[in-house]
Amino acid sequence: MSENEKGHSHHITPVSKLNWTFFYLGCLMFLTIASARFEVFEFLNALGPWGTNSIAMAIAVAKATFVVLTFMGLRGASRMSKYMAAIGVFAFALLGMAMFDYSYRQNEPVAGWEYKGTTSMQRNNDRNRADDRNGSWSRPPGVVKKEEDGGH
Amino acid sequence: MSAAAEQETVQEKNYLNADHTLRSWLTTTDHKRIAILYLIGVTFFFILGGLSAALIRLELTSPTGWMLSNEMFNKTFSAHGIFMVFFFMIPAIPAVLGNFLLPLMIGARDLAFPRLNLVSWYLYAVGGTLVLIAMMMGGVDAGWTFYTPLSSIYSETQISLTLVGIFLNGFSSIVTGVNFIATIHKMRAPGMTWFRLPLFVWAHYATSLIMILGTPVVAMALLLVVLERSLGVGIYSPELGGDPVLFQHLFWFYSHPAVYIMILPAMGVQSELIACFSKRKIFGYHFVAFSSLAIAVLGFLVWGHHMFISSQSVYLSVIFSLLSFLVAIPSAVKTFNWSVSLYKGSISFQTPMIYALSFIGLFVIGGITGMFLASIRTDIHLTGTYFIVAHFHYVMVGGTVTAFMGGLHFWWPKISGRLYSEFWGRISALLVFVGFNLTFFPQFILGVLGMPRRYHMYGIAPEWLFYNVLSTAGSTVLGLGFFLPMIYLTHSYFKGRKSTQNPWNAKGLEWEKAASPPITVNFTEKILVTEDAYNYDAISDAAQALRTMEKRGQLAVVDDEDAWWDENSEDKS
Amino acid sequence: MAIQAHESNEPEVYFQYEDIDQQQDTYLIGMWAFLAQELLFFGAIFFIYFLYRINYLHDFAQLSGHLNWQLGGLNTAILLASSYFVARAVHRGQTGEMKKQVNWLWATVACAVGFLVIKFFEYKDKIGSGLFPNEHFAQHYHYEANPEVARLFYSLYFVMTGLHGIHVLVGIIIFVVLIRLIKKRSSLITDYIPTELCGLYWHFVDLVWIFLYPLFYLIPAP
Repeated sequence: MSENEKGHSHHITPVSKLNWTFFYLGCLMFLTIASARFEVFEFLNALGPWGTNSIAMAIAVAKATFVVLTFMGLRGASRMSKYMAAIGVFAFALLGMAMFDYSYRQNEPVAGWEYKGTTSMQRNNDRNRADDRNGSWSRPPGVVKKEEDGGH
Repeated sequence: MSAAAEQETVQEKNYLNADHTLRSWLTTTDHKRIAILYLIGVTFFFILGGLSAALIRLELTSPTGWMLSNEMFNKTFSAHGIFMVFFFMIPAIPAVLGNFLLPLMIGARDLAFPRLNLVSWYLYAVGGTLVLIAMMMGGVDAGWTFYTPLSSIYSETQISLTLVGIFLNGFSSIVTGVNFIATIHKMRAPGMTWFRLPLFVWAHYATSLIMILGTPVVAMALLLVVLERSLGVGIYSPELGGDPVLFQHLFWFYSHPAVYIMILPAMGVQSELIACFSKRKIFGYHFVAFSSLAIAVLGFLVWGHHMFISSQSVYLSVIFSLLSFLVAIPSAVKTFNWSVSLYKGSISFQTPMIYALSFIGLFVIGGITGMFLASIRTDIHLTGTYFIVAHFHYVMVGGTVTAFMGGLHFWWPKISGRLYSEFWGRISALLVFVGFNLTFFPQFILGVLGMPRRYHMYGIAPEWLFYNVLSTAGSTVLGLGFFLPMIYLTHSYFKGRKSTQNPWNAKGLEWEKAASPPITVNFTEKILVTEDAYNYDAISDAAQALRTMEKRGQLAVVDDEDAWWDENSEDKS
Repeated sequence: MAIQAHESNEPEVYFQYEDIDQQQDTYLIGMWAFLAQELLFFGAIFFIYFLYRINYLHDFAQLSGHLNWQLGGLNTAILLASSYFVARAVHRGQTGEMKKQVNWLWATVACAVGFLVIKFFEYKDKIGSGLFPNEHFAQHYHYEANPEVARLFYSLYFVMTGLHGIHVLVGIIIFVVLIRLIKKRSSLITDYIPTELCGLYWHFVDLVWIFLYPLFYLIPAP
């Protein structure tokens, strides 16, 4: 009603565009599965532990973009709707700040504050690293194998 | 609307007497009636929270823990925190005053989604009932913060039921937030541009953003605790390699911004009160408006300062510490601008103004001590002591509750159509100020001396007794200060003098265009806004001009004012 | 292109709005604000997922192999199709053919039910093999990955897909109610906005699954 958000005509997405989007989504879905589960793409595993999964995530983002822009009609939506969607994504990104915590925890040198012992998280990390080396996953729960270098 | 035009403006039909049945109240979609329902709800929980606070204070009048068992004391302070934070403080200003005033202030006939508004009250009521049931079944002992693994593994109290109640209450606040955002964006009357909005509306806009972006995160965090307790899934369980501190991250991601859910609307109320009772335009309107948004955004970036002594990375702590200091800037912008707005205003010490002025003083103390706690080294020494307790009570009670009381008194003539006793109003405002300081200032000292919070025995240091007794004595005065308004406001609702439409000579659509109490659709005419908010300067400019003329000796002393006006009023207009 | 009115009656403008444009815009903004909160609701648990995934990279890769990626893929296809059907239903609403929405909406409901049925069999399989992550988990666990992390992984799996499943269930209820209201020519449905709002919700449910699928089913083997 206010003059700075003038009433706009509502945008209608044409059917052909919906059809094409559906087609693209199908293709992308096939591509995801193929990249992750078909042997043709096995060389992608050389990319590391996230390997094909990062490709799958990129494809998921592409799919999400299609759904948001066309099916949900954000492309033709009002500025306010776009803005609400944007702040949602922005706030989600803020949560990622906590990730810093986990990447740096216990790695920083603090004079006079030496942590003795291990947290369960670190313990599991250590075990994973040890298991990587030994090539074995069969250690029973509760048995902790300490590494000499502390796993840093 | 001049005060001289003292006509009987109480309408024959208004929102209060539109219908009298209980059913009409419980199924209403009128934002004003829902605000009243919320007012009843928050008052109820305020009383419960206050009673549990009284128990805590009584217990601490002796170093030996003379009244409550350990477990009972844990349950008491948990109940106090849960009632006060989730069921009083978070809905208090937005859902009562905000609900009532937002549409009136922007010239709308109702909120954007009236039915949803009612849903939000029912979610609140059901959530509150569940928590009450949980309290009756034995209560909870994990504090209002529900830290894992205490809440998820060790506690054997009614955690799950309480959390479900808080979960529902969270959705009530999300629904309110969605409603406010849509309303503020789309329901403003013609001419009500963003920069003509009262600052109360700006503050509520920022609050609503926090409500919709923060609350779902804590909802998920609490839900996972419930699932861990009921189904045995183990997201936070250290036994499975999960991280209990993760809960703190998620919890404070909401609960620190939640502090701003509580204080931002209070700041909005504050702007209205200062402007009206000094008859001045708020100094630096744009700065105050944007500082609300800045607080909302920065509020999301500082949650880690609650976790300096958890296993949080020290690098991250440094970042959070720095960002926490930044919050002081927008808060200070507001405080300075309110103070400057008083300059050369014609200040009148009515009840709401006394509350508003005590807000400034108490909020500054609360804010400055917050700076102590934002710096890591000081925080590591002070965290978990009564210093923290005193700090956040200065902000929450000294800020939010004071502003809520001020706002309630200010808009009471609009809400009820009646005038309360100004005498008792001033008495109670002063009692709150004195009692509050007496209660919480000794706690700063106790904190620095090292008394830990959430302990009910301090036989190790009996010298703390003096400050604790002082604090308990203060809380009695404070309690009286909160008890009196319940009496005289209720009395005035039934027996008070009828109010005019604009008893304070205030600016703003709710005073100038709506009756007291308003009719169900708020306004009788179409609203067209043509001037900025707080356009009191017309009044104060005239006063200024008079003073200048007086100084210069240009002002003739007029013996008969009426005669003078009769002669000169033609060319004035 | 402006929205056509309902064939028989003009869209109702509620008393608090000035005109239909304002009303429709307001509803859409409200819905997007609601979706922003849904994003944060799921965002919190996605954050937890990423945290544990990074910490237990190899275990997660091993455990992903237990999940049936064919069924998951089928469910992805079903949800994508249902999203498309809803988009078509909304299109019908926008061009004013209210009654013709109903078939597309039924197709959506059918997809949603199909999704839940497949999900049910997946759950049944997992719970049947003792993989529900409660305290008895380790007794039945005889796979190669670290059993503690496995329980964590299955906690995440059940919580995330479970919450998503609840959203699907709510979606079914919403759509069935919507269809009934449209058929009864209820006064609540006088323009395309109710369909659009339910559709937006449904697309969001689809979006969540688009991310859940690769994150649980398609982690490459270590």
